Amino acid sequence: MNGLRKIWYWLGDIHLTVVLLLGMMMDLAVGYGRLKTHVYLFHPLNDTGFVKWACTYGKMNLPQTAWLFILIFLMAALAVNTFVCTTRRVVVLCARRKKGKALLRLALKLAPHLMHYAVLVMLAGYLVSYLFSQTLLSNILLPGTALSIPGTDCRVRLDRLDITYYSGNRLDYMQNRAIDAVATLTIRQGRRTQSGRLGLNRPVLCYPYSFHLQRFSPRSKDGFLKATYINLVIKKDPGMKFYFTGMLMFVAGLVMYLYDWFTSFIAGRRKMA
Amino acid sequence: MQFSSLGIFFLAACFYSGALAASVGGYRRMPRVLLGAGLWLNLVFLGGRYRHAWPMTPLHEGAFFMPFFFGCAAAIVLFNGRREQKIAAVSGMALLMLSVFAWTGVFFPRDYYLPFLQTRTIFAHLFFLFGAAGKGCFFMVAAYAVVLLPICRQAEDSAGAALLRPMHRWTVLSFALWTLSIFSGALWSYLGWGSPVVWDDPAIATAMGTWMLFSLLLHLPLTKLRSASGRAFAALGGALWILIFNWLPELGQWSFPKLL
Repeated sequence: MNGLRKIWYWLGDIHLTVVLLLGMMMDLAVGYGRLKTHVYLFHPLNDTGFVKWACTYGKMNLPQTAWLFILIFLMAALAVNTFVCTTRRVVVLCARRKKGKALLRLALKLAPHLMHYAVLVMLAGYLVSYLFSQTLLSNILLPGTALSIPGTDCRVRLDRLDITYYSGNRLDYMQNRAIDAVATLTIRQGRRTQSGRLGLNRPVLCYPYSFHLQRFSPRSKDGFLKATYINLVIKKDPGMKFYFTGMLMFVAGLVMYLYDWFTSFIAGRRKMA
Repeated sequence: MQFSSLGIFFLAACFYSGALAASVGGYRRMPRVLLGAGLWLNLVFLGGRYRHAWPMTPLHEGAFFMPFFFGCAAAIVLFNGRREQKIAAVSGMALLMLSVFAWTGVFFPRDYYLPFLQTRTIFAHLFFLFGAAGKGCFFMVAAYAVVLLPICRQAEDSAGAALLRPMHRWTVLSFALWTLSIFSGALWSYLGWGSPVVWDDPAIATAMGTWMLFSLLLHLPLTKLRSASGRAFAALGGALWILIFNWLPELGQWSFPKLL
């Protein structure tokens, strides 16, 4: 029992946190150099899952990709360290809570721990994403045509594509070039039919898929490429809800922490005055 | 001369250097006036550059945006500062760093890249602005660290910790801004490409590394390495990291400024 307790304390040690953070910084510095010189090795990570990538590009180019494997190991270790350290402190805080003491005070004290748990939720999101996500690239659609998502009964149709071309004086370099594009899609999934407006940075969500506009044509009024089409990226990513939940939790924790920090700063100033 | 022409930023850099010279000369009001004028010109220039990119983001112009945010941080210290020698030294150091950053922006601009359509979202703007502000605030930490390091070496631990309080405040602020920048970038990346991480840009590694750095600096007071000089030294190391991995990539090649 004593041994287990020792391990528990060691896993949550703050000095271990510092070592892991330093290790990750060093590793990321190496990664920066590798990404700069060998970006073509890492680009497929956007489209394939991590396991497929690791078995192919990762394994075959170990001198260039080892930093990413080390990073994942260090991240896993940091996740364990963060969980143990935070949980220990949360337990102590809750146990020390005096009866009748304002709940808001306790909530503010818990704000940094909320941020720590949020990081864990985000990391879980990444894990789920890299293990289970599916990406379908190069889905070309012409107006009036449809395509099926392989292995499903889902069908996407491009009803129309509206491109806005810039014609003002302010942005010389954009003259007669596309400044916005909106594609109207109809998605049929079994008996369910949904239509949506797709644009750059404006995906259409149709559970469990999301549709992203990668390219469209024609990009320019006076270019010789006049074909009208869109190029879609179709994603099925179950990790995103974890990731965005974690992000919201972190922002909530950060706001609470900054509020606490700011009120104590103001109180300190008043005292000094 | 248009608001977006480099000449305006050149003038801002001149005012920043003037503020430094006045600060070294021991004037009290002159550095504030000159810094205020420099910031105003810098802001006008940024407005001009934004006008030439809007609704897209001038993503490659960080070399002009970061000095503005750093200058604002320096102004807060300078305008807030009581007549303490320490504060005068910190603001002097900040003005020196500000001048260097502004002149590197003048001679190594990276504004030859045009904005691209995918940056037409609020999240791209927030990613860019929060990132520049985060870096600016952290260079303030570096200014404090340079000045306080020799003092902290001689001071007792408790006195040293009190000295480092303002430095810690700027670290917290940089961490908050950097986090918001990363989150905005992740949202932008998801909306545009369908994934919060895009492995096409080496900056993804340094953005993560810098976040780890801020986390490390915020955790240091809880460790045995919490001595004031140790923390000041770590902050200096952090500034070097940001300089190499986050500031230098924002600069372009040497070019003689076209001022009009």
